[in-house]
Amino acid sequence: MSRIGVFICHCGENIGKTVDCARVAAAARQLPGVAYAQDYRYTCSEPGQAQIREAIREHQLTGVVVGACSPRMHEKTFRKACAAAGLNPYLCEIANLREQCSWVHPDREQATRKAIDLVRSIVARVQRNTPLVPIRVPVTRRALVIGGGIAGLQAALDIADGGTEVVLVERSPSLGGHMAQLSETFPTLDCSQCILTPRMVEAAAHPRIRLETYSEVERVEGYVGNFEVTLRRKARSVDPRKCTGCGTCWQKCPQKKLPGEFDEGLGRRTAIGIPFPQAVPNKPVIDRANCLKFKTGRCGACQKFCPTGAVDYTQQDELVTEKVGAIVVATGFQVLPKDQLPAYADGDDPDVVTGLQFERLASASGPTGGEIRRPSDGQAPQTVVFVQCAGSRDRAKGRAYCSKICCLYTAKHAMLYRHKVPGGRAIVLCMDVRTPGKGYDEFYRRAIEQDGVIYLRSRAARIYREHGGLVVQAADTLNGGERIDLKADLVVLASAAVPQADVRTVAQKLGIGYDADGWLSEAHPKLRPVETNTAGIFLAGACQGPKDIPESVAQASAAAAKALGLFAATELQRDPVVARVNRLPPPLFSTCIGCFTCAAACPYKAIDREEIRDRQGAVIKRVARVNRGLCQGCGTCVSLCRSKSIDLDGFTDEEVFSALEALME
Amino acid sequence: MSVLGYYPGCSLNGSAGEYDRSLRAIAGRLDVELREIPDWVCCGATSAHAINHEAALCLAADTLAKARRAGLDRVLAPCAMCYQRLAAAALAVRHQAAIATALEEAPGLEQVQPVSVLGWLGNGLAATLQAKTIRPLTGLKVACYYGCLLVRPPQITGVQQVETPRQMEAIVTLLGGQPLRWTMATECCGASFALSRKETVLRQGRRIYDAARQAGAEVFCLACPMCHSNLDLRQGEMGIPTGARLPVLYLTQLIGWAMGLDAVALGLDQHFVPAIQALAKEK
Repeated sequence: MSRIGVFICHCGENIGKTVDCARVAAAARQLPGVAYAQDYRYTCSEPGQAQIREAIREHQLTGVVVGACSPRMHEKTFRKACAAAGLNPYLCEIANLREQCSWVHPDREQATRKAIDLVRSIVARVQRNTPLVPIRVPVTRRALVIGGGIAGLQAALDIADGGTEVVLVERSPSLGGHMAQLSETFPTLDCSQCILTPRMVEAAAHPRIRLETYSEVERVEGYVGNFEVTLRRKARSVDPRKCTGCGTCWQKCPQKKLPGEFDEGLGRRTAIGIPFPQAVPNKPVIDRANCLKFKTGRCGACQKFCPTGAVDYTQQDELVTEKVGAIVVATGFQVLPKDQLPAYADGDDPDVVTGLQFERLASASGPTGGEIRRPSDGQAPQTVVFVQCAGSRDRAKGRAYCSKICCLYTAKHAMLYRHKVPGGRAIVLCMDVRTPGKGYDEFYRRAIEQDGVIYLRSRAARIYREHGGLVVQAADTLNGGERIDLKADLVVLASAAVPQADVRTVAQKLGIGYDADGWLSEAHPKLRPVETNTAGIFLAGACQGPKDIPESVAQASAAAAKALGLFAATELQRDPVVARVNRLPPPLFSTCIGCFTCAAACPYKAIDREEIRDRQGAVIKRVARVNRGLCQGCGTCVSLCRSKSIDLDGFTDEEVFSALEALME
Repeated sequence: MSVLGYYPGCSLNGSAGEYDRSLRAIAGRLDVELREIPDWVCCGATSAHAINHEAALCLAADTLAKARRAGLDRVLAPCAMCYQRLAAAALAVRHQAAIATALEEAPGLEQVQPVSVLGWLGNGLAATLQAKTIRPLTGLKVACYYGCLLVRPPQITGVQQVETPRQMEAIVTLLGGQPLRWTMATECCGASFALSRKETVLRQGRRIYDAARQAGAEVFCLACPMCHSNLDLRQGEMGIPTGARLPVLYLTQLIGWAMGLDAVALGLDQHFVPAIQALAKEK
């Protein structure tokens, strides 16, 4: 016979005002199987919890029902209290008398009756509960960081400094990401490369960081603490052990006019080379699609002139497997390509540049050596129009969100332009200027007050060429939408930050979520901002949404702290609320018919196949098996199983139906 | 011979008579019977929809209902404004119960599909147009002009590339002409402001003309009576000397000419800026 204890909480006035708690406790006392019932003002308080502990001991309770707030709030608290008194914590259940009763019903009598019903239902349920034991999983103390931009670098350095080995994967030939392309950074105007490249070098030299540049994640298997990741090391066509980075190969390469990706198409590069002088590692890669040797079979200059014989045309992609316990995803963002904005000079005018292209024009390491020259003819532009929200905050164009970084980088661009072209006119067209952040508004005011940047509250409708020059057609939104046509020598678009083109593929490989725009999803927008819904996978930087450098770095450190926290224990404990495929004595073994609908539906890839064999080793039956490490207890498989062979521990059919039946009484 | 519902609207019955004539002429050559919707009414453009949204939709929906009752489920509306109003009504019929109930007498109304000239000629007629071209527009430099309503708004027209449409260019290329890349293809001509704010219309027209001229255009090609009258009628008022004016042709006229049809049958003699010479000199 069960001996259930029922504890009704007033939650101050939250429940007590609408529900007659004493009456609920009295009604509970009459229920079959209830050995003790009471009500108290704040059950979550220390005296409240002490009462639960004492009652368990004194009345030898076999189960506890707390009528209080939502289980999301205090289920853990009360289960801990039960465990302290020696009761299995999974024999404690919450009847939600606040969110599902007192807060939503004004009538005291009706609310009290409903509270009694709810308590009766949970008392019936808890009688069916079985004791559960937390799942223990071992942890591989090693992390994988995907992405070698500033967020990935920071996460890798923090984890490595914390004493754990890190594999840092970057798909391009060098570390650095977008930050390496930037000229100066807001709000201090310090040189982006100068603060970034020491970090790149530090990561490369760190004894606990292993770099895997020019590599991509091919496959991810396993679960928290025990991931197995397959990486594709793309063929560099250069043996990094022999290469000294002397640069002879790219000086000799006859293909000198390829558009350089690092310069956003504004500069030229060779078919073999490093993307920028401070690249880490300082080892070139052959761009096979554009190399004469690979295209025509002739040439071979780089191999001929290489003093160390490092050039190897026969190199193949290589697959390597890494075991890691945690993964930090720092795959970054992209800038909206201008061909997505055809209203702006058909999206292909050389003198309409993206924000990132302007960074290259302003950068000392860029194609113009840091002088602002327009791409069409190399002239210094006398009027530059900066168009904010180019692609952002525009539902009609498919992106409703604010890209967040543009207001500040536009102020910076306009400022840099005014410094570099004295007497030039810098006009910013903005919907409004958003500058939350330390020193940010001061920076924007400085652009106006010290550097004479003109801000017009306006939305650029069109950009077109007239008599050879660019015209930005806009509406003056402070003056009844009066039309303004601005002649410009150069137009800089504050191009929207957009997710990486292949973000969905990456997310699917990792088994993590993404939103409608393609940003990777955090587990909770406020309280779990760096975790994903898949345990052991964390987010850092702009892959989760537009972010500036300080924010990316802060999130990267947070993700690193989460990973280190995971590594602090030798094994992990997980809530045992996971699915289970039933096992029965022979000859049935299980009611599972092996249709594997569950495996296809499982969002966490937690279900695989198990072969039941006889003593001779012959396969008798194939059934589904839930990996308890991976399962997140969502219950999708339970609802889909047509032979009712799967149950969710902690939410078994028996438990849930007893609760429902008690409600129908 | 296939049958297509035909909604000429007021302008093709009046100021844009040459559009009507050229359209009927090429339809004949394309083996399409244009069957006018019996008892059609005003599409509700400009005045009606500026005053009462609901009433404007009902006007256009009434015409669609008449088409449905006549068994015409595809309705060609050559005028860009008419097309836009009919398409808006068709969309409203599918999404707003109010209008559907008001027109209960035409069951299946939601099946009526208004079609623009570009939608009609641009879909599946390419091979035919090319085959029927016997007098190609070899080398004729054409500024294809869409104006506002032929492709916009995208919610109503369903056109993807509203800022850089290329359907008209594709047709002109089939005819052997040389469509130009220019900057004002989707600029507004000023439309009916010709009556109330003429300076605006003249200013807009001049900008459109200048851009086309600068791109090297010999003729304009368009498919909207409003655009046509603003560009063809007012080049003098825009201050363009006689010799420098650009002929403004309907797409259907260009097609008809390429098919070898007679200039007068296509109404090419009806324009303020003489057009026949520009076409004839190419030969």
